[in-house]
Amino acid sequence: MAQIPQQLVNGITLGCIYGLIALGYSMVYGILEILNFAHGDVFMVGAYVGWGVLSALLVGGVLAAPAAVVFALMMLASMTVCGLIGLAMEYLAYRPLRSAPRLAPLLAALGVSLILEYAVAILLGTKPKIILVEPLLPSSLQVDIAGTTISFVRILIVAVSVLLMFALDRLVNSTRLGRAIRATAQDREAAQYMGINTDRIISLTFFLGAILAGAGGVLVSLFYTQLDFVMGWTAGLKAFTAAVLGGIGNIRGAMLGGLLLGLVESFGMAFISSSYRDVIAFAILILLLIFRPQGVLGESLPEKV
Amino acid sequence: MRLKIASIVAALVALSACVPAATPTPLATQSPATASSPAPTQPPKAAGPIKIGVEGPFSGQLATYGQDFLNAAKLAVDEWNKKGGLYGVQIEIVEGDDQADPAQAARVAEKFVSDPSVVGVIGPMTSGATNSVLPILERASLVLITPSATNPDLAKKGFKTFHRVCPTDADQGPALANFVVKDLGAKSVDIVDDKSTYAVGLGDQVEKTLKDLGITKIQRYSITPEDKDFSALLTKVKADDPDILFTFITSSDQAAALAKQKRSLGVRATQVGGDGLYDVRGFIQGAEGATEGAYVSFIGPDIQSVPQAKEFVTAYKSRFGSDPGTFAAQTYVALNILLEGIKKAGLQDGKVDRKAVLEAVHGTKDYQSILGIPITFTQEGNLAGGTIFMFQVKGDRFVQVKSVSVGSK
Repeated sequence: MAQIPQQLVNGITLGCIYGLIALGYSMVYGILEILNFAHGDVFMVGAYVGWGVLSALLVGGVLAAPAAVVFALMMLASMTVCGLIGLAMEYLAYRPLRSAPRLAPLLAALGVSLILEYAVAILLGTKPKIILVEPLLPSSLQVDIAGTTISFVRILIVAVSVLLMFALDRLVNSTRLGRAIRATAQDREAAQYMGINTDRIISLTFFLGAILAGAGGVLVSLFYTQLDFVMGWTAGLKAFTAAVLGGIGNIRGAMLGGLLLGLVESFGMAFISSSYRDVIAFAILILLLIFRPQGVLGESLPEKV
Repeated sequence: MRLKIASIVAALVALSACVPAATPTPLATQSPATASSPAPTQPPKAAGPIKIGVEGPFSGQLATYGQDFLNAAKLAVDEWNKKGGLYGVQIEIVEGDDQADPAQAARVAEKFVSDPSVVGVIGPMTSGATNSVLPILERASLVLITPSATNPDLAKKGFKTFHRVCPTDADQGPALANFVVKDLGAKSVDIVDDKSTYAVGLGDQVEKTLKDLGITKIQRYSITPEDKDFSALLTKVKADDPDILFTFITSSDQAAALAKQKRSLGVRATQVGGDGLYDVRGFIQGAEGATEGAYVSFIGPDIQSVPQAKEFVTAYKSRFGSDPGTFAAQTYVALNILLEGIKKAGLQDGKVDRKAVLEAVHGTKDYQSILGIPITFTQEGNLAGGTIFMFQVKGDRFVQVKSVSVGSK
């Protein structure tokens, strides 16, 4: 019982990361009704970019710039690279297939996923990368409240994720651009008649999803301190589960789904079994699809985005 | 909507079943040497090339260990080749990358078996891979010497081809359990394994001995090699508050990541690992101080401290620019024993016979190795004798704190 507060902290951290990745899934599904399975790999690339920047700025075990600057650079580089990958992916792999049968973009997504994975494997090798985070985030930076330890990296993960999710929510729900995104999601043809450049809106959706994945990649890499080129696969599946859990196509649903999944996994590991973490997550996915496919926040005919 | 998602998930489940975590890498095979012109002179000369299969995880999660493995094998073979090779031909290495995956290991073994000039196999590195190649090699009477597969059951299956130059976990497990109870005074113990043949086997051995020693507070947990977030698990460990946390994990990188998260959660237990964690780069440098004071056991000595190994250490350093890694010395020894065996086996119609090599290797007696101990194989193919060493992480290196000699099994 003593572990409950700590598991709560663990679950929230994990949940924020799942939520951040789930947003990209949800937005793309909302607008195009395709599942972009390459999204998890964009997240993986983001983690590698963050690692690259950190390694480049780590000279002889000492940071070349203040920690905050290094972190900002890592985020910026990762989000830029991922955003560009998102744009390229949409333009090269999905746009030509927009009117093709539904299976075609799904297979294209798997193709893109493999391309990203093995591009990283060929360029950087298949051996996992170890991130030396100590100079950036010293392990002594942590608070201890009655036996519950909260390290600074967890606070960082939660703070940055909440900030990004809030910004996205504002963008979609209270700007002109957001209205265009929602309109495109609701009825692409009608939106086009209203003078909305739907191609550009679709590109933008991929871009936004990808930069969130990039941010998630950096945050995760600082927390896990270990990267490999297949890490995007499981992360992507978990995020997909989170997106479905919350109601796919629904932005707040994706955040909520991520949080729920993170908490369920943490408490499931604590009170059911430590070795069945993924089983718990995917059992939820299956049960949900049977009994409530529209998710927790989804409606039967949701206004998707 | 219901149908769409359901069908997509069905497709997804089908796909995830057939997309492996890592795709197999094709075997890197060295090109066969151009047939040298026949020179009908004094000593018997082989008609074709002589090849040694070297199998280990050369890519993937355990690639660092695999590279050490391969480096040591190349060093040994090159030394023999400089002295003229065997039977007038140069010895070649056939690399088999198994990524420590039993399924991939079986494909590598089939490859070795189907090439008649491969007359012996060094490796695999891991117990799981060894388990899967044994029946395949046995059919072809192709001898195997593993430098590092420690699972005791490997020798109990009646495979004549099986040999190892390391003690088994039937010795390492009790040594570890005795050490934490008698030397460190442990009263409660948590054991984490990574579900591999090696880790589960070692965990079982440790648990058994702990129970024999009267320790009742034992908790066991598992992770998978893909896991990166250990916070939920470590929070449970923190609640158990054991004196010792055994981490039987094949990859030292993963064990180091776990150590860092253990530190950030304020878990008090002393971390103790098996032979796989005797790796400076992963377990010490990669952990950034989080493994300070942790203990690991190893199936051989600190090779830098063995007088007989001086030449090997110098040669390895000058050629590869780093200290010999975890299982490098064991690999070097295994290869030398195999080549001695081939030499002893002789030629039959200008060819090296696999069965003759198997018999010669099996008959190895008191081979003077750089491990500082003479090597003799038991009937089952185990190393007769041997020593388990205990090390503690102090600063940037492992310091030997104890050694336990084992009786032959």
